Amino acid sequence: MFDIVSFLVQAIRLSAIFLFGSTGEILTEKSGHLNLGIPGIMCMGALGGCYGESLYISSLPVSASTSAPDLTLMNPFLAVLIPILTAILFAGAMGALYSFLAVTLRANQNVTGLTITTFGIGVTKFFIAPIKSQYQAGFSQASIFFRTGFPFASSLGDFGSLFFSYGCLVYLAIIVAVVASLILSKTRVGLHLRAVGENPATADAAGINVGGYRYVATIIGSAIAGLGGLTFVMDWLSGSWEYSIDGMGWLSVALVIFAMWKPNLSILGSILFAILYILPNYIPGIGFAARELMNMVPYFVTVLVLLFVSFQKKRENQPPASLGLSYFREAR
Amino acid sequence: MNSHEAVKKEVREPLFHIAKRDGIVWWKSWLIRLCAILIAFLLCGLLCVVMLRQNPLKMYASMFAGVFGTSRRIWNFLQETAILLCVSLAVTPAFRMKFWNIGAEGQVLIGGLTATACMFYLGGAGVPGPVIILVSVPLSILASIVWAVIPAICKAFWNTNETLFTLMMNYIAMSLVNFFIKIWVPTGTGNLPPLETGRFPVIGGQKSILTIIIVAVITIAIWIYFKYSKHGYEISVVGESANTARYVGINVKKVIIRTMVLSGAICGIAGLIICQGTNYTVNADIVSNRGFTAIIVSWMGKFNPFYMVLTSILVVFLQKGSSQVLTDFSLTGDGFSDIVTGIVFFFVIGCEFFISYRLIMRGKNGGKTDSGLSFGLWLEEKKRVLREKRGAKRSAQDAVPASEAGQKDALLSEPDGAKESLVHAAQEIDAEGSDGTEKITFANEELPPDTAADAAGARPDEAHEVNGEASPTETEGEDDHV
Repeated sequence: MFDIVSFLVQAIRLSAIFLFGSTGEILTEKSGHLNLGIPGIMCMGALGGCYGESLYISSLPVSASTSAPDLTLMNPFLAVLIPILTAILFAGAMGALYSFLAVTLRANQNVTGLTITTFGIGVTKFFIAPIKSQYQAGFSQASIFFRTGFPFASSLGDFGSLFFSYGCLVYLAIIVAVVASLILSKTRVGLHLRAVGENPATADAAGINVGGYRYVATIIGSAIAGLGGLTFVMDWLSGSWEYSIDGMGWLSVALVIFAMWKPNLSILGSILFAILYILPNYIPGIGFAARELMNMVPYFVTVLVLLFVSFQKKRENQPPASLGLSYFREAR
Repeated sequence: MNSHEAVKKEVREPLFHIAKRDGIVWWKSWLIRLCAILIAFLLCGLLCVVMLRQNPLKMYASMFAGVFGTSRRIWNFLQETAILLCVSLAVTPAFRMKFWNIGAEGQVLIGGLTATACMFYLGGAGVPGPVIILVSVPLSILASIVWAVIPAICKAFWNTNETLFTLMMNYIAMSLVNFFIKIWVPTGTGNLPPLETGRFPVIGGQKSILTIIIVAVITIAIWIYFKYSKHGYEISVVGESANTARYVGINVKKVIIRTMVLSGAICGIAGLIICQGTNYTVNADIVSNRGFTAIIVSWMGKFNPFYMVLTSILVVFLQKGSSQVLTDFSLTGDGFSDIVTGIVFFFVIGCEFFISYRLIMRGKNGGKTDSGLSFGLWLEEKKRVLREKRGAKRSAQDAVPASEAGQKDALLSEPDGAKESLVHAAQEIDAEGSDGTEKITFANEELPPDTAADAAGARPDEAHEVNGEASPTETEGEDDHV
């Protein structure tokens, strides 16, 4: 029997990765930067999280029996908080590197972003193996803390597992998306950010610090995307590791289009993408070939949305007007 | 109107400001790029010491040995370079018209898939090899063209974002390849073993020779296409400004679609070379990110086919060399070549800034930095002058106005006589104010002058003209030093 509740629970768990990635990318794109480095940045977030967790584990007192750090002494709060902070730090640093190249040095955004992806994936592949082999047990233990939902979830039956059974990062993803949406649409800062992305020359004339906004938006956006990488490792894979994370990064970039540059729509979009992503696993008797065709669906749907948006020509659904263009005050 | 030159001494000038270069001698630009690559290599050596605790000289030696060590490695290097160059040549026409096609990965993959499909089905049906090649070449090229032209049509007619569209097409292509492999190899490893019939002929005992010939022909053909054909010229015009192109009667839609057909065709050839000329099989990773690397190769080579030969040699050298480093130092992590490539790319990307812009340091060029001065800064000064002017009106009623030329000389030779010069400046503005032009824009302090002036668009033009009256010619001679 197809268990719809556990299916949806899995989908929402997975959606957090896409949601972090796309929220981060939306903030970046709203400032006029098409950051194609998101897959690399998500990798770096995952690496940063693992690195922070390994630092925390190695700081634990050594247990007498196994002569390894005593995992039973792990503080759930610190075991979650430290990786989050290091993931933000690593991913933010990549964002800063991107901004330096694309804002200050006015390099081509596509080229810079792709290089960030190459570099981020390379660094992660290079450093993750030694960390992972040394601290695997600790990561598994920590991922339990990451995946712990509200204690009363199990007493509420299906309702509880649908709404309260997720790990902290899933709720954080939704909160971040809602906050980002409110900031973009309701605050002065959001208005300025959108102005910078739409028409930097006019924004500059109105006294908005274009470079500053672009820097901050890209760095914050990257940090948020980095949390997606952390979610992938600690929540979805339960502390293990595989390389499919960059595919998740590209899907997040696709999701930005799907959500038409709106973080609140991105919440629904990410759940839909996650459903499409895991659906082949839940269809009984599906062949390998058909499964491959189903993997195509999220990208195909994105293309359709992209086409729909461009057919419609509705102003508020369009990409930011100066997306992909560097701004130099004196260039006309 | 030289008054503000003097006032600038008062305003805190930033440490440096940035101005666009008018042009740079070609050897200087290549010197900058070479320096960037050298610095990147030094940094890689430093990382080698810090991360791997190895002698960096050993790393460089290992890189060279990995690329040029044996004749097999050299042939392999040439083959890889030719393939990467082919993909780069494919993306270049589109980039020259600022169509950001990042879907070369998928376009090449579809070409390769079609070629492999021809080998698989026709070869399986007993069709002789030469016939397979005759069928597969046009079919593969056609498949790649279709893959490339779909986003182009959407861009041309509905202005769909081509970067995102082509990116998505990559993944659809990958899923298609996985789908077909699952059909062809339903059980077992899930890898299609190299197919026997329908391979490209091997010339001179090395399969790379044919590849190199094909790619060399394409390189020269593309260069001629850009340099001497009307199409090439139209591409450049569309790249500069689609509106200009429209104005001079170029059919922009046609140019976009036609260029992407060309792009797709070359991608198809690259797919043929990869699948029918090198690996004789296909999988989703067979293009191994060349579609993305090609973008960087093409961009680093300034979209010039001959420069791109150099950049693709550099990139393949980095990748081959650093994977040899990995083997020689028996490292576990396999991301090392990506790290090295990434660092070199960062430096090359960064150095372009110093080729197209120059920094003007504070205090350099005496009082002649006007041409590079940003408009906002200039406006700040202007406001200041106006504020001073009001004071000056009251306090300096009896000052004798100096002649304009004499005033300028005095100001230049006497940078510290700021107070005095302010008075002069104020008077001059006062005098100018009577003819109206200046007063209209700036006298109204309530309205933020930045907004009004900058948004008007034409204003900064005017301002610069007035501002830099004499200076462009004066500073031009000094532009070139880096």
